[in-house]
Amino acid sequence: MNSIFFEVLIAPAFESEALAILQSKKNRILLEQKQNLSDTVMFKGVLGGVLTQGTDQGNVTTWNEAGGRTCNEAEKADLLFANIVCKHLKSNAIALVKNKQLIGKGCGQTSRIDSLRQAVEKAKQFSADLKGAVMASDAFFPFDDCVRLGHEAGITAFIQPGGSIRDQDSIDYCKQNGLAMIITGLRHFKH
Amino acid sequence: MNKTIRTALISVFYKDGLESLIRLLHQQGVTIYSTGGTQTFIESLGVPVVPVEQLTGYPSILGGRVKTLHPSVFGGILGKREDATHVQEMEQYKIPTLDLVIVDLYPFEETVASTNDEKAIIEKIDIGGPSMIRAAAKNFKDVTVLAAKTEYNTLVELLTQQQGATTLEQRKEFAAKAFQVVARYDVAIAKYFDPNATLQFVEASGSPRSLRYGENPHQTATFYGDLTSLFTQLGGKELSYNNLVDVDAALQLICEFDVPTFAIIKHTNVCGVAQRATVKESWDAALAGDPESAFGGVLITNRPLTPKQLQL
Repeated sequence: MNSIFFEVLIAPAFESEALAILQSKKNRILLEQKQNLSDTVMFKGVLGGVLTQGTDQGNVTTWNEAGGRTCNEAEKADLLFANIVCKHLKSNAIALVKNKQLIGKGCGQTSRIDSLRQAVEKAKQFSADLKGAVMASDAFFPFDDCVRLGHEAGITAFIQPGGSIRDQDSIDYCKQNGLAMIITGLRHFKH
Repeated sequence: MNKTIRTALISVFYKDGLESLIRLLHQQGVTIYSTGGTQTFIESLGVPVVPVEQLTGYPSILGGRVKTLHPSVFGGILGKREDATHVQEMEQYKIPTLDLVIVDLYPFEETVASTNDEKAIIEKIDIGGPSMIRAAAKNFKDVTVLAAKTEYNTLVELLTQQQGATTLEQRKEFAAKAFQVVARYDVAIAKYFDPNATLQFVEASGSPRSLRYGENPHQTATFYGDLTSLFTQLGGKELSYNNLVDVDAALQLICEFDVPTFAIIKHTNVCGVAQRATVKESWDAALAGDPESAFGGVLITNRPLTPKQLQL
């Protein structure tokens, strides 16, 4: 790790020997974290004023199995993990996860399918095997193109909030192809 | 316009650091008015002092709730020295001008932090103090106001260099600071009455941190908040605007996880994250997810770092 260039490293504690080695790079910022963020409100400056809103807390509370089968335990763990990661990506956000590892992500795109294409591309770039991976989306799939492309790439389970007038198209595709799909009802936009 | 200070009203909770200022004022022939503990303190220095009761004709009443709230005090602060009617009325009612007001506020926040006793807390809501500070700051054309002990030394220097006078510009600067002190004080009180009130910006303005620049070098930036409660910085250069934005994203992500996790953040996005049995394995997997984007990123983990885990 010491040989890699990074700006900031945050950890709850640094053993003294580790600290000495890490401090060898003068500009590297090392932060010992004392507590978790407890913010319940966030701010954004717009139009010369300030917008405030509650922070986007929590993960799935509703677990609606809407696909062609229910997800297995490994998929469920990955789906929950992917959904949290997705929440922390700029919209439109897609997170591809396998075995608790983020192996592809697309974010900040103006269309969802573009984010997915980016995510799949990223995974391929570093030779990740998408077979059996799961996909989280920060908002609904507007068409069935996302599940279609995901399926072609090897994705077997999806998690998304739902809410599109064309939800059924994506659901139908999953049912026809034996794919799991969780609908949470909880959107995680982050602009 | 330079104004020579001839009279001063001093009433402070914290007396430390006040002595040299009082001695200087005495030496420059300033008449000092004071109340309660401050009066006792000034007398103990052997400096003559006029009790405010002598101005108001009232003792401190209602358990100290009403001491200075009187036309003789507020007239002396608010009266415009260049307004013929004001001057005439002040003479008519025998109100002396007050050129310098040094007042700090009851320690409200400290009291809230140390007790749940509502009665004690309510009594620490200062009424006379903020009123005098606001009055003096409003009349900065004629009056110098100090609302915090951090300003004592500045005034000592100015009065020494300028033969007991302050300039209009200096008085306006003191006024601006005084209004900030009062604003922040009111925010603390409002937060006590409603802890959910969204007043963080005003609340934090007591300790703004100037950053080298903003998102880009041509943009100025300031951070309002308290980093020291979150971190101890153990190495490296000063955190930049972009660092802070990414560190915030990193902290928001990491608090979602309990099991060993390592994450890499780039421009607020997660570019690598993984959960494994150990920090080392988590780091390897997080990096493998996108080794290219990790360059120059912000790294975060929720477990202590040891040499072994760093592959050192």
